[in-house]
Amino acid sequence: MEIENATLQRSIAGAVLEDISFKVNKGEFLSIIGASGTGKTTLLQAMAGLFPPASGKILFKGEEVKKPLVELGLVYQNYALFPWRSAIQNVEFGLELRNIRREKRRQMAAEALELMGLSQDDRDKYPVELSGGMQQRVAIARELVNKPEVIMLDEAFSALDVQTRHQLEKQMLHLQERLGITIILVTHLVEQALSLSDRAFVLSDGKIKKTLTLSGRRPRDIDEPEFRKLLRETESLIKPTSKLDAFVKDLDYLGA
Amino acid sequence: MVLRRHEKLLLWIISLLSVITIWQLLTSFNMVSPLLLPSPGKVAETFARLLASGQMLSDIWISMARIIAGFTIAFLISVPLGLAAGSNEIIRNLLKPWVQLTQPIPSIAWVPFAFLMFGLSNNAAVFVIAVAAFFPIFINVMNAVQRFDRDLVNVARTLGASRLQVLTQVLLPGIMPDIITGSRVGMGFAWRAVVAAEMIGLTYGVGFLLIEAKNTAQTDVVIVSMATLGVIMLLFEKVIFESLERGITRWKGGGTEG
Repeated sequence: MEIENATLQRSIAGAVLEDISFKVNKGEFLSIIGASGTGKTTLLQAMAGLFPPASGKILFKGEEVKKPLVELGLVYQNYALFPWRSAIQNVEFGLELRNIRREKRRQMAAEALELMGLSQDDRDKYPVELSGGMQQRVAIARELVNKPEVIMLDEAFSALDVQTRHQLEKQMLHLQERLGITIILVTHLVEQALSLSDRAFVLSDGKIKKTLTLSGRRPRDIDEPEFRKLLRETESLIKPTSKLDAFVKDLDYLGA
Repeated sequence: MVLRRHEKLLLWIISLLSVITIWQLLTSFNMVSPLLLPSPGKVAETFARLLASGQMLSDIWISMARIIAGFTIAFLISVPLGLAAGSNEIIRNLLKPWVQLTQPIPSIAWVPFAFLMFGLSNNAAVFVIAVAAFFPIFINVMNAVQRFDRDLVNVARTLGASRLQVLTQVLLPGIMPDIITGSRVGMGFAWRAVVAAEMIGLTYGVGFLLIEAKNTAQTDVVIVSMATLGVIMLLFEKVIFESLERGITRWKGGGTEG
């Protein structure tokens, strides 16, 4: 994917992100880090084709992204599962739109759920009957079953407890290695981004403030001195947009 | 304290029997004039007579036919209009003054207008019923669309849904509980409207039976008509609306009422 001089605006209040440009390499794990209100979600939604940039272009495989594409999957923080559909029916949704036969559809959905670690007992449960972690697995399975080339995660693990979050992070790394998909993670959790990514952008004041290229085995050892140093430096670049945001940032740091 | 299903049923039966017993005692000891309040026995006898003559069933059927016609018209107009108003601010604000002005008008007040427009006909009854049932469905649908989770729409679009598919496979199923709730309230209003129309100027129907009985001082027939209305509405509730709601209870995370 390529973002060329894009300015993104969601309201008459003004541009959230101005004149940003970057490339996303095939197969990489890219994180976009920023405090709340810095335009991370706006950027992701524009990349997913949900609305056009006010100026500039967003390209996927050389073609301008003018509408949502099945190749560009999007997973939300609040899971966005259809509450009236069971777990397996949620995963089947995209396949139904493509008129895939019922038996084939069911088989593909079951495989995707198994890949995400959901048991057979949980397949027929409704979202309200599933834990947050299980709902997020269903949401990811719903994207994976359509074989996207890119999966975009909009703070997808932020609402989960630390243990579940770590489990899903490892699972995403495993999927990336196994399926070769490109992952774009939007997050305000700097430690998470630095632990999982090949590259990371830091957003602040409507611009990409810094680009980080990371190496080494993932997930990275967060107790390692080099990692802690990079974490402190990166966090210093992120200005909270409000006192509440600063408070939330402190809670995240303390592992709350 | 949470009552089990059979405990609720038992209380229901005890309550009904208690009132009937008190009623019987009042009439047996002549504490109330039989002209004002006939005995339960007399009322039961009258009900059996009206049922056997076919008059009761005929009146019920006529009222129901009017209800079904009026409610169907209201539903077919209110749901699309509610969807449009909920998703488009211009349409919503264009409709707003008319909804605010006409919604508070009681259905009985529409009856003279309906008679002037359509004469003393079934069409007048159907019109009044449609107006009465329209507002609760329209308002519920409009509000449900306005507060609908946009992330669900966006997810559907990213999974390849067209606008029509978003409407039919996301929005409509998502707001179904609100459609059911609005329809339930609308059906209640529809029954009130048909009784009003039948009492004021129409022939046949449960409302007409009621007003004819009042004019000829047949209190037993009045009570039978009122009880019949109550039972029909209860059946609508239990057979139609509670069945529909049971279908959505699990995914909404609620339990079922006994």
